[in-house]
Amino acid sequence: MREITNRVLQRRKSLFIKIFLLMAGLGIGISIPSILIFTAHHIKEMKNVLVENNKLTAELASMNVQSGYFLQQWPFEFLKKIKDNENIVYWRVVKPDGEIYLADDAEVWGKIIDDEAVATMTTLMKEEILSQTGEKIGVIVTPLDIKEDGRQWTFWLGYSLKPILAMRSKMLFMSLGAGLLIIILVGFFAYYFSKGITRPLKQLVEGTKAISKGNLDYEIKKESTDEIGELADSFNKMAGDLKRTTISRDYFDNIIRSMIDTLVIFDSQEKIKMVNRATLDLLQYREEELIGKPASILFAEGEALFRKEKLGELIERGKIRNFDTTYLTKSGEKIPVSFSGSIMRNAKREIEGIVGVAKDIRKTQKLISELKAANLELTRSKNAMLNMLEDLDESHRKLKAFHSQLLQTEKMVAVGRLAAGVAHEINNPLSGVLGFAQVLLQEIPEGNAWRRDVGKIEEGAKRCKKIVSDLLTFSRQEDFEMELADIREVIDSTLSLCQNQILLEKVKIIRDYEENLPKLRVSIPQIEQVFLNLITNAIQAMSEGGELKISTRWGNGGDSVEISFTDTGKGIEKENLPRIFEPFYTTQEVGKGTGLGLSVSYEILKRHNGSIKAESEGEGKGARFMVILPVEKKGYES
Amino acid sequence: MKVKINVLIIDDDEIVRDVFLRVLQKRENVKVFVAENGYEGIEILKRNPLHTIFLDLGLPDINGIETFKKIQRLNLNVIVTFMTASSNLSLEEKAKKIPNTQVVYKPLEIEEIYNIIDRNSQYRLN
Repeated sequence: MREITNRVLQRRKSLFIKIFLLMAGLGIGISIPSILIFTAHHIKEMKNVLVENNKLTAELASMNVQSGYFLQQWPFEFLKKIKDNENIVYWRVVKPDGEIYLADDAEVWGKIIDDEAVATMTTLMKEEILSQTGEKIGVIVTPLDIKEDGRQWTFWLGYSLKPILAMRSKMLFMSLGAGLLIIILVGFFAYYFSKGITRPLKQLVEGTKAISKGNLDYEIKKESTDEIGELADSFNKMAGDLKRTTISRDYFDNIIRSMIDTLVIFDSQEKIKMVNRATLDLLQYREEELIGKPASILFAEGEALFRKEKLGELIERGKIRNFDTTYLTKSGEKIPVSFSGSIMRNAKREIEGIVGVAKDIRKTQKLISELKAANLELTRSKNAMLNMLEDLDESHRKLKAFHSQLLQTEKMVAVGRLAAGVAHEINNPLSGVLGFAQVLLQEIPEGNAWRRDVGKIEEGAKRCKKIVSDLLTFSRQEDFEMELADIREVIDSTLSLCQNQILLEKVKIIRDYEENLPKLRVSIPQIEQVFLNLITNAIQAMSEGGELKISTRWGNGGDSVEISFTDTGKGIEKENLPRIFEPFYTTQEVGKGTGLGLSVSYEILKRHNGSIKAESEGEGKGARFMVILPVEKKGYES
Repeated sequence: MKVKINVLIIDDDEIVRDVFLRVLQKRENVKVFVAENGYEGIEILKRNPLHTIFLDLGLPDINGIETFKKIQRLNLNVIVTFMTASSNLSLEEKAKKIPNTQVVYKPLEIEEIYNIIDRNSQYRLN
């Protein structure tokens, strides 16, 4: 019933719309264009006034900028006043290549404008979209009398279009309101006018539909005596006749239609005589496509039901039960079914046809095959798991070995990163400590006791400065200048740096240099730092005097040079040897060293593709440090 | 005749600015300006004739290099010294490649500050 009502409503609606559109079209067609013309004229007037104003401002500003350029004194105060007008979005001074030279907003200085208006010879008006806000603005470009390669600089003034847009939207809103009012009035009129025409028609159509669907009790109300009324009479009479003479087939049809399984009736010629809804749905045929067709159309090729032996069995036994066969849909899809059939005989016991019922067994089959697949998958997963376990074992072994190698390197890198991370936090406050201490030292008169205290503050700050800069060695990746150097000269120049200390601590230096060693490619200041660290350490280890022997010789069959520093100082305990290159490891008394000298040396030599080793027989037996530097393979001549 | 030397310090750390103010306080021929960031520095440059700028590399907002590029546009005869707290090595490398400038490391010693100002003012007078 609902479906019928909807269709009738649609029909009535279309007629209603025709009339409605006619009336509305007339109303709108006259009023809207006149409102639009009026609005457009006003907007144009207002825009002209605004643009002329801004153009004057732009010309005035460009004259100021021009003289500012030649006087080397940009008119920032004047330009600030221009920007104070809320309708001015920006100003810019632009070079002929499009580079923004100056602007109200320092952030855009240096950005490039890609626009044809750059270096224009005449004043131009254009519009652009502001990238930050998406706002559309107007731009005036005026040429400046500043030339570069024969092309002119320009002054750009961006102004807001908001006043125009506001006016425009106000006007549009008003005209829209008027138009809407007209549409509503015309709509009401058209609605009642069309309703009067379409109501009797609607009832007639409704009745026809109802009868055709089998509702023979429906009676059409007669409202007029015209042709429509006469038609209503004829329909009412027809409905009555139909009710008396027709035996309804609905009952049987319903039974067959409501069957969930498919039902097909074949005649004695094995042609399809009847099918139910389930068959059509399953095989995707329309009823007329199947009626009268041979039975074989339903079955997949090669299926046995209509081969002689199966048919013979059916005829002989009168029925056949749950026979697995395959149906074929219109699109060629094969559907496995369980088929049961029985012979239908007439009063004379002659075969009249065959009744066939088939049950779709796809779901059952699908379940079985899914189970099989799942089982297979399980077996496969199990095997893959076993393989993976083996691989994991292997990887674990490799990782373990690798891990211990990485640990040392990682420590160094971590220290470097930490240093870079906190350098800012330490160096800035340190500026305060050091700076103020030094100012105070200048101001406190000689002989005042405070001088000594402030001097200690200065000394402490300088020591912090040295620690931070040592730590930063680990994070600096810059390329140092590498040059060919005679390593003996580097040692000698380092020794001269600590001459005072050597004399003070009564240390004897023994040089044992091998002749004919090649020059090495090194960063001289860095290698000097390494030697300085080693010599200072040795001197500090021999506080009661001793001998420091420095020797150079070939190493590793001529691939490297070894420089060793052997002292007779207090030595290093065996258990401490592996840790001495770690950052902050120190055996010296607090305040004497930063604890970074050896790890910085280690890092520097690593960058030279060299290395450093330490040996000691234990406490009191002296120590030996050996620096190994590679010999450059190509391009070296002794 | 004594010439007044105008020095601008651009650094976001108050303690660094304070050190400069205190260190240069006693110098009668030096006038010190301070700014917390690049844009503030540019505003001061627009209004005052400056001779020497100490410019921190690790400024927030626009960093020292970007600030320097903007300063160059003003066509001024001013000498820039970059300061770094060694926290950003890539900026430091860039700064070292800019001609007619130098990079110094924090913490600065006051002798270093005096030397830079004296050298820059001599260069200017010559």
